[in-house]
Amino acid sequence: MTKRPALAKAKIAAGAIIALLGLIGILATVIGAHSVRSWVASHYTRVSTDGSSAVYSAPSTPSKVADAIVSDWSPANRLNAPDGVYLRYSDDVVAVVPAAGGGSRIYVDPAARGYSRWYGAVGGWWGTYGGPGQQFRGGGPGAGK
Amino acid sequence: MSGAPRAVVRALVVALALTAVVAVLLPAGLLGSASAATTPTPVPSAAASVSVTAAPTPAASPGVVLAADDAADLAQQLADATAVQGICYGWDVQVFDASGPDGGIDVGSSGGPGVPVDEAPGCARVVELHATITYTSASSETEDHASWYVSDTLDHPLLLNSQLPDADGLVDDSTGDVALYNAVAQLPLLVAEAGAAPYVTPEPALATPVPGVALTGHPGSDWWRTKGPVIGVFLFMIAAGGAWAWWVWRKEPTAPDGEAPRRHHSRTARSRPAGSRSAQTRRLP
Repeated sequence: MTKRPALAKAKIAAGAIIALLGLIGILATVIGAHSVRSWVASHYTRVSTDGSSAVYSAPSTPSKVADAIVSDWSPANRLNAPDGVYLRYSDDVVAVVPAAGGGSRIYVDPAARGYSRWYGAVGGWWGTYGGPGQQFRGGGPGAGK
Repeated sequence: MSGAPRAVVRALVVALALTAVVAVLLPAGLLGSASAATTPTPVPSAAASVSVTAAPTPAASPGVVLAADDAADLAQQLADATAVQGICYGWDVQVFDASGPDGGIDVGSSGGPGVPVDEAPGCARVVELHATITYTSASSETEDHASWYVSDTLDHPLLLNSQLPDADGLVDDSTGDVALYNAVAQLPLLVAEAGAAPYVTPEPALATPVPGVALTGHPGSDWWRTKGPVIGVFLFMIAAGGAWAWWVWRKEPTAPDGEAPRRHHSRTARSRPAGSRSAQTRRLP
């Protein structure tokens, strides 16, 4: 058997604790929400579903709800509009619009369906506009509006 | 070397390897992640369809920040909001370029691109975003910078300025137009949220998908975009903490039970014999 001075043991323990905290952090990050869809589902009240689409309600204003979503799940594109906030993710389109009775409605759709649903707002910003070969808005596809 | 630290290090290495594997496979969907199916489905038959010929028409000359198409589209959106809320919206951007030709003014409103909001017809109540962008010369020690604020002629202050995002995005050539567009376009929403006007109703969904219309490009992994920086920090903690523990483990002396610790490396001057060269040198005047 060998012995180490107490100071050396403390230093080793400190390094191990830091590494362990990093490990726990990674595990917590990996185990947490895996997509914006699951994050929204775990934070807001589901109102209805339609296939892969879902609608949620939130008591806060649309801009506050959108900021909350963006702070936890960074979108590839964000489009602010007078009628709501539209967020594009890899597989989903999330729209946060005002609810009739106050608060917000959050629409989570598969990307293609979301693009069609909110075409009036995001059409041309994130894809083609009016047909193949026609114009884009906002400097072309994926310009990040 | 005792067995306990060795076991700790081994456990950390194994856990790190497993975590790395999981972190790579999970966002890629190889471990059954919760990401949703993305099969395109027909849009619900909710309301009116939108004609494919309803594209915004470029009607303005390009501004120094917004392209002509974008300015026309933004002005149209503001005009639609004005029709609902009875409030005129506009933007006024001053660009100063110390060493190039990019300076100028970008103005527009619900009255049209290039039309200052105070010249738009029938505007008793006005909300306007003012921005200043300064591009410094290459020799200047000052960074390019930008700022913005909102002015209004409404009945009571709406604290809109506190809800504006940071203006730094304006100075970036690739994001400046996006930042300005988003800041101006959200004004009607913020005003409605403050209770000063009704909400603008979102455009209804299409009754049927427009033929040939589709998303373009692929944004990349949401998981990595969002969690990547955090994962990087945690990996750094593991690497730094593990390296530190390993280094101390190797460097610090060990000794059998009942003996003084034995140093492995670098004898210090204090431990050198009195007759050594170093000791003699130190005694020289």
